[in-house]
Amino acid sequence: MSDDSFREFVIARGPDLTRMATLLCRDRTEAEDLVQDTLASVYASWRRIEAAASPDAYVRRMLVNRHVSWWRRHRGRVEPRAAVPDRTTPDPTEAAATTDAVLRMLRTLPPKQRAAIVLRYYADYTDAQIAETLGCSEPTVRSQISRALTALRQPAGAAELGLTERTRT
Amino acid sequence: MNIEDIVRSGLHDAADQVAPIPDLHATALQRGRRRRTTRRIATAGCVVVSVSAIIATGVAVSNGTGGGRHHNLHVAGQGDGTQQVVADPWWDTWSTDRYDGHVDPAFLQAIRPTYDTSKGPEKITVYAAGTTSDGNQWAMTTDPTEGHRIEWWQGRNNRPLVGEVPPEVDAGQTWTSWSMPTESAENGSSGNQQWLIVVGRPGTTDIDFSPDGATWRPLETHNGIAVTFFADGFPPASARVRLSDASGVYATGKPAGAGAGESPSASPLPGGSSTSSPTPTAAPSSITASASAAPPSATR
Repeated sequence: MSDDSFREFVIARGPDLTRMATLLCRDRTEAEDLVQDTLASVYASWRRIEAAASPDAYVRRMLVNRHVSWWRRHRGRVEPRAAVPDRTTPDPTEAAATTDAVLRMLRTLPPKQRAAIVLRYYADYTDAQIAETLGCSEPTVRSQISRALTALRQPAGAAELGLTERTRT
Repeated sequence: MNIEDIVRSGLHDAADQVAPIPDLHATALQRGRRRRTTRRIATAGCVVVSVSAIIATGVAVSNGTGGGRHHNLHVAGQGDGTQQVVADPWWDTWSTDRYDGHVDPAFLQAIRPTYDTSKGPEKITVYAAGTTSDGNQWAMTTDPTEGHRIEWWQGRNNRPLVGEVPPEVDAGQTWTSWSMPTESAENGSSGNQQWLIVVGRPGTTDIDFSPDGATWRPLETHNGIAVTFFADGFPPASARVRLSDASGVYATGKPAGAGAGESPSASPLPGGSSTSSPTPTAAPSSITASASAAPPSATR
């Protein structure tokens, strides 16, 4: 077990994992829990993961799958928290409003669709990479993304995102 | 902008605003050490509660040390791991190569770990494996080099779900079970549907399931393995299983099917049951390292 290499990995890749977790989760607190929980598991198998061809991709995959798994297990549960997490204050600028809207709409999607969207449009993964990460086929990836975009184009989502009739297509 | 551009720019803008977690490396190290320690203690204690797995459901605890006893299936709320073991001094005598349904050797190759890429995948021993009728592949294996005796794996399309650390199981057990989601997890459809897989000691001829501990329903058993399907989610907290010995006798001394003191007529499970084909395959019981072998998923 190499604590040093694990520490170096977390220092280097932690911020990116946190960003991805934030896009996947409902709030910052949940994202932090997801990152911490994932890394605790990574540590337990670090020797194996370190030897992998791409530890970064491996850990990202752990994060995404754990997120999907979490959602399945914890949906509907209400957990008390010691402190109420800060809420994002709406930004008056149009760009920030759109960003908030994207996140809000993203969080209405099922976890696998959300993960597919984040991997495609944030991580710039190919269909094959997304399929590998989510453990499904490429056609399934395409259908997940298609369904997600269709949902976002629905009137409620389109209004949130400020889409016009022309840009909804 | 079209919707794809809006989503892309929105995600990148949102990501740019994310502040790093302070001292993440220190807390991750601390939590990782604690988790590893907990797992080792649990493993040594012969009553193993698995680490959380991608599937996660009922946790069962031991309720005896021999085959044929009744075993409680505990559903520890929603969300904890899923593993159940009972101490068994004969664990080392468990035979390998037990299958339930077709098992693609490529899946078994893919679950082999690689600690040294120059040497290739490590040797593992497959105790039991199978494929459910919806395409979930699973395997119970040992990886001696990792220090724990048994690992459970699941996946689809010959790709194990390496996104989770497989649970550790201690050396002594008469049976073990595992619950995993159906294909609903794959296609994003709603509903919490689970498979329950019970692997009995070699020679186990009968495995019964009870949703309430009173009424029993025999599960179709092949090679000491029973697979059943829960359309409505996890097994209930009151659920139990019981296994016979090689001669079909439960611990109570009554032959399997006679109810062993309880009504043999089972209350049907929600959604009925389903088992996969018992057709065995010729997959090797022990897979050794080979330069030509497909790399394990851990190297992806």
